[in-house]
Amino acid sequence: MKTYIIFRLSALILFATGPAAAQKDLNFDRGVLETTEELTEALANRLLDLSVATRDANLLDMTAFFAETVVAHAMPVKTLPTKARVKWVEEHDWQMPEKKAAAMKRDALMQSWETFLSRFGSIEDVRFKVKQSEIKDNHAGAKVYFFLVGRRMNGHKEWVRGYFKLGATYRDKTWTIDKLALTSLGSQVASRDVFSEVGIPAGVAADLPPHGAKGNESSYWQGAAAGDVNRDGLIDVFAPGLDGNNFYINQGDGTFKDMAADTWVEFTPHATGALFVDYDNDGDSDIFLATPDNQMLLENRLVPDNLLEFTESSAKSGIGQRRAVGFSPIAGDVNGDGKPDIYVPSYNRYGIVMPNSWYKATNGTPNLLFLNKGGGVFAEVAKAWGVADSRWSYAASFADLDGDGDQDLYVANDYGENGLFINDGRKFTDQAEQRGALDPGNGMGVSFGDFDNDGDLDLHVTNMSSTAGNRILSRLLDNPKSREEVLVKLASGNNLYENDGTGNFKDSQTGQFGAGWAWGGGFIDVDNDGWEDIYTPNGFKSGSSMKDT
Amino acid sequence: MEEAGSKNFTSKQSELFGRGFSFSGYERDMLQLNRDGKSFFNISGTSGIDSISDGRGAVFADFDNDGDTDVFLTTIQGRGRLLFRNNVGGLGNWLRISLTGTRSGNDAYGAVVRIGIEDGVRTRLKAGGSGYNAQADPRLLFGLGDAKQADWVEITWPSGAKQKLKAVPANTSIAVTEGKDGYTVVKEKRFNLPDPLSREATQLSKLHAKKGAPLPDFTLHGKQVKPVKALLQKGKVHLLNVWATWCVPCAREMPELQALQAEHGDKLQVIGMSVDEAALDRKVSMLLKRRRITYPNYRMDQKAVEALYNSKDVFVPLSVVVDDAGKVLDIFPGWNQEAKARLLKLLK
Repeated sequence: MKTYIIFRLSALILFATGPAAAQKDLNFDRGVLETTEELTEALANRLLDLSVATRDANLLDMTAFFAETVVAHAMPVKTLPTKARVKWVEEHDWQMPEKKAAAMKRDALMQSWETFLSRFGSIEDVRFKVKQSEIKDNHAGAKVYFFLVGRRMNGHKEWVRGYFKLGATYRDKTWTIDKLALTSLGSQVASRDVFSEVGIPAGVAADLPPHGAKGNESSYWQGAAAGDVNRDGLIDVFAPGLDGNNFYINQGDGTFKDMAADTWVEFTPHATGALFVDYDNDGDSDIFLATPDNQMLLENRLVPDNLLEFTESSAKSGIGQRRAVGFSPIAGDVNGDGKPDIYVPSYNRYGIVMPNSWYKATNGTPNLLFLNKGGGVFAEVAKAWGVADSRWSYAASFADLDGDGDQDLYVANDYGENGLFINDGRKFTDQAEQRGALDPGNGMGVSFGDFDNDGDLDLHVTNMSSTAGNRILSRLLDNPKSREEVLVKLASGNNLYENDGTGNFKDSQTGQFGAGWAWGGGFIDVDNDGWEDIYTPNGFKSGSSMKDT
Repeated sequence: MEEAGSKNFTSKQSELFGRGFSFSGYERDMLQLNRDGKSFFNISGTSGIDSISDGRGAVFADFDNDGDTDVFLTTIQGRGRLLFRNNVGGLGNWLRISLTGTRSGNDAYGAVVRIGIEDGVRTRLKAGGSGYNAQADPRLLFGLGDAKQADWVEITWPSGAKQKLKAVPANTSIAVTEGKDGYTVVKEKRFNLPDPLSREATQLSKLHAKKGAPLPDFTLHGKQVKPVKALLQKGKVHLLNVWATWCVPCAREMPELQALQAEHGDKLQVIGMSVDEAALDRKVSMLLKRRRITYPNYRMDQKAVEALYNSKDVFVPLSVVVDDAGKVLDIFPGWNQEAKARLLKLLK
């Protein structure tokens, strides 16, 4: 990760400041930066081992991370009064130590941790994360974010978060902690879980090899689509798979049955995104599949044959002849003829082709627009309609944003800026810049929803955020100036843009959501209070070790 | 301008992947609760949807028709698909609207529905795909909070046509057809997605050993190497207790097992089995002495661990109860009053 982040950030810094200015204004020496970041990474990995030992309440192991005498605070035992936050969530702080951290025996510190950890009925996860670090000679001072996810004895979920000032010494190729001063500690407690994971009892679990192992080497990531494919009033899911697709038909009793084989859709070329669309307006949901190769269309035989079976109509529809590195297909009627058209964002073959810039890449592959001509035939017209965006597109969404009655289009691009294509009925023009929706960064997902309930559609774009990136930037930029703001934006995460009602967007000022290496997700009102909440899945690749490359 | 990336970078990356390293891995997913349209409240860590899996496509839909939004999530490895049942939707009233287009085409993707409730307007887009590789429930679900009805409903069809409905009561599912006045109430089958597997059931699924089946064969290291089945004594119930030096709950339960052994030695034989490495043998003996454990103890090697567990997630403590023929009578992932009661019943 560090190689990647430093590589990208140094390119970005050059972009934002110009090579000479970069050295002068920022006092930026790539060699020093890399060494510092390398040692920080070693410390970060050491703290991940400590995280695992703490999660398992493995005090013997925990002890090994500390020097015999540690300048530290014992973990607090008292909690301050609780404040209600929302119906089922309350929060409280912990009574902070009154005195400055003082030298204490390692065993005494461990004892206080044992007391702290034994409050929990179960601990699911603990992390110590380096947010900022200063390294001089063989000693590090770091600001460390701590969290614990667990359950109280009564089963209620508890999320503890805090900060430590940590000191460590690097000797014999390892970091030993000699300071652990507590800066803050708070808990969030919920009387109920918002969600419970029920995939196995509901019958929707797959069993995939670890990513990178044989049979799971592709990075053409896969998603899923929801729709009522047999018109029984229950929502089914089509999920493209690695070794055969899954078609989970809702049984109406809390379980799903995979009927991919019965419906003739189990084996197709590797697909990424699926889309239910009644392209021939015959009353049933057909399936479009985006693939990293030739695109696919599957016709539902429910109408008129009353069979839940699919036949491939890729070739006769004209769709199968079109290639793209397709992801996240979407449907919308771009010319208002009542026939759904299909747009396919297209990426590129990462690893074989590398982006020609980390922040303004232009060497993706052209996106596709399939215009529905009726009679089951499509024409690919992206170029003529001005939407053959050849950046590294990952996702898109149609919506009428300027209120003129036709469907506009927002496209999220990785390694660059996004497109906001305004439709005039015959073609689109990219107005992302003048409408305030460029959103430079690593665009991974788009979602429209009215988060402020003022009647128009606001825009949520999922972007990556990076702890390492922010850490490096904080080292470089004490007081970010305007031209450096672009850098901060690039490492910061998801963005929420407010629509002024005419399709012009501005930052919503609700704060940025650093959600890590984020993918898609978006608006979802989880508690039915009428306010759109935001969910973001994240994580690029978890190996057998938590340590990052 | 610097060219991004290089062959070196990607090959170094694959090498590190091969050694089990992560790349922005084990990140916990995020849930931000919208409070008033002005600020969000991070509830990720107590939400239950903050999974560490590498999530990709998130599909939002009401799979059990109970009036709240569940989440189906695809991931890149392992389980591959996760299904999150919503447990809090019942805190608010709701209204579901299904649209069928005519001039706009059946799906009517791109339609926007606004409803009026006592404290303002709510807006939803019927998107034909959004997020990343994802398509949500085609039926639009509105959370109403405490409102008892939507005072009005306005549909803007992709064709440009607008259609208005008068008041619709809360907690109803309705269908609207383009150009046709009014709505029909949809009778839905309502049910519940299943309960999550208990912690115990999840842990039991990680074992080769199954209740009622013969104990898998493996050997144990003591003064000699012995097959586990050679340790079984005629007429006795055996409790095989798997533990580790680092495990705090193990330390808590071992004295309890020692007491049971002392009391029921005529019918019960407790056998300790540590999963520590051979290098820790001295530490093991020291701990046994300190904890005053006198029932026999052995060490499990990697092969034995793999014979007992079918998963890399080797959890301890674990107690497997077997009869004198090696049949598994019960399994306890962790010791508690219920486990004790179940064991005592077996001893009768």
